[in-house]
Amino acid sequence: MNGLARIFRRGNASAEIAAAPAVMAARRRGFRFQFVPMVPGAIILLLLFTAIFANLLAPFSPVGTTLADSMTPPSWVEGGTTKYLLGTDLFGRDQISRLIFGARVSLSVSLTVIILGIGLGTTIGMISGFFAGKLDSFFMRVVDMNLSFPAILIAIVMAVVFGPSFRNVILIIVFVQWARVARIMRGESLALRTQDFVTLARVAGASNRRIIMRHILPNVFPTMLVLATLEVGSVILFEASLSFLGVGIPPPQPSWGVMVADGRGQIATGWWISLFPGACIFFTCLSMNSVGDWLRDRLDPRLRTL
Amino acid sequence: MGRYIMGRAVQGLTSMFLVTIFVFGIVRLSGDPLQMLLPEEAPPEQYAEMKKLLYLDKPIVVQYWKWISRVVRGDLGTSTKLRIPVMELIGERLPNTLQLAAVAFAFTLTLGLAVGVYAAAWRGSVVDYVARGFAVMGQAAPSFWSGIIFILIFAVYLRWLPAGGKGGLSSIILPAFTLGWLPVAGVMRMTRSSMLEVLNSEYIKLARIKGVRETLVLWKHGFKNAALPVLTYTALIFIAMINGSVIIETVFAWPGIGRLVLEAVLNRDFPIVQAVVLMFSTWYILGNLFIDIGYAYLNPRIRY
Repeated sequence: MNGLARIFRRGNASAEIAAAPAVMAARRRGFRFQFVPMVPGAIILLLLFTAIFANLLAPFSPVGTTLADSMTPPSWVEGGTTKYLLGTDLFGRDQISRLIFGARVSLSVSLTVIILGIGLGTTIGMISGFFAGKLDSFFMRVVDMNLSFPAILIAIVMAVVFGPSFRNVILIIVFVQWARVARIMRGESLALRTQDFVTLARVAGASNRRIIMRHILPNVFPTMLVLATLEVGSVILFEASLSFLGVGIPPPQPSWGVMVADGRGQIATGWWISLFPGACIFFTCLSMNSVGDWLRDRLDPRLRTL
Repeated sequence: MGRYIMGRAVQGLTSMFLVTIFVFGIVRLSGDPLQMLLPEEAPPEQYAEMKKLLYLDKPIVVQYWKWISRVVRGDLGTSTKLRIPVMELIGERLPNTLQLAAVAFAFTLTLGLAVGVYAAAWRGSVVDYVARGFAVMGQAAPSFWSGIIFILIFAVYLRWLPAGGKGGLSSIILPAFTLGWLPVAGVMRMTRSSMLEVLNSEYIKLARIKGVRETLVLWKHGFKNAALPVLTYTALIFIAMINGSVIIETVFAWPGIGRLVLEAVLNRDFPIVQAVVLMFSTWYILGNLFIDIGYAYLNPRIRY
């Protein structure tokens, strides 16, 4: 079946026919509210909007310090001002502005990692599964080894050796992430290669390259999409953890992980410094995970054990 | 069976070999290993000493051989900053990490299994919803942040528990709970789905028809059959916890291996880093190996 058609397909055909009157009735009544995916979807859209228009939305510079306003609490707490709605940190930097620019950092890191990691993992997984045999066992050994490294520790070491920078953080997370994707995509293509339509394509004289691009890829596409959504949350967490430990996005760039770390020493006197950026990470991951779960149930229920 | 174990063992050894290549290579990847391994302010004699120790004038294969043969004999070098043998430092810190992981592990098992079983038995009940909410939250909350929030609530406001460091028994509660949250979520979800499957089966129905007490049905007839996938998963958790300690120990100022290695990384004290990466990877690989073999032993259907 065509991959895109499968994405927009809902349930199986007979159920659809049986449910047709109900569906028609629902359509006539118009919009039906569903908590998932609508609420988390809206949160994600809001985040994307914030990240893209960060420089228009932020009231202050995310790195500009005003030492006189150091540790101002949020506006609704005694001592807070409406000038800084969510307060300031130790260096008097406006928290809201930093959170807004932090969304840009988090999302650009995670989207780049997802594109690179899923791309690399899918390519290797498809080639490995499709050709099977020696090539497959070689790739799978590499995957096994990659998965047997303690990820966070390896990432820390690499960050220190190569130096912390935006680009290096992305490459490091891709390095620890692609293998998981490759393993799943390999399983999918391995099952597809013996299907009739692949055999027929080969009989018709299609090249390996053409079979992979026209017959395997469209069929693994829904899985790829589900994986991509499900991995965003863990990539955001990973980036935040590295930044928290001081080996991720280098300060003064406002990464949410760095902001939580900034507030750790001030927890008794300035709870707001750590609380808000952590809450941003939490709600972003929660939204991504629930949209991912929803998408998986729709497109590829076999992945449920993930 | 024997063939399978042999195959897995060879695979594990290959992984180990690659890990040593990685650990050996990483300080040489970025140019001058002396600059990587020694602090900037190190005196020239220390440079000369290190150069001799690493056999830097010999070919790289010889360097690797000399290094690995020292490692195999248990000589992991000396910390360049603290000037103390690495093994001594690790020996000092390791018990603390193991204590923390053990408490978190016990907590994960009891809470995860118990709640998982009852969430499946009372599907759709309040317990089920609370358990699922707890699990979903655990998967989205960054542990370094939830740790800080717990400190804020239980140490700063309520003053029930200490905020960090290692003191009496009470000091282990917060870090262990934080470390355990994510794995509890995993165990709970797995137990629940595994139990749901088992509870649907004919022999459970028969047990109920026979009039067996519900507790017995759940634990003896149900859980015993649902436990296998969960148990293999929990074995992995213990290893993952030791790795996750890097973050938790930083948040709670817990004097364990995780904090030792993070400080070492930030101080560029590479002998310590090499040793800990090597140690953690070894546990990881060995753990995986034993799980696979144990699983193949317990479940004859698994043959690769």
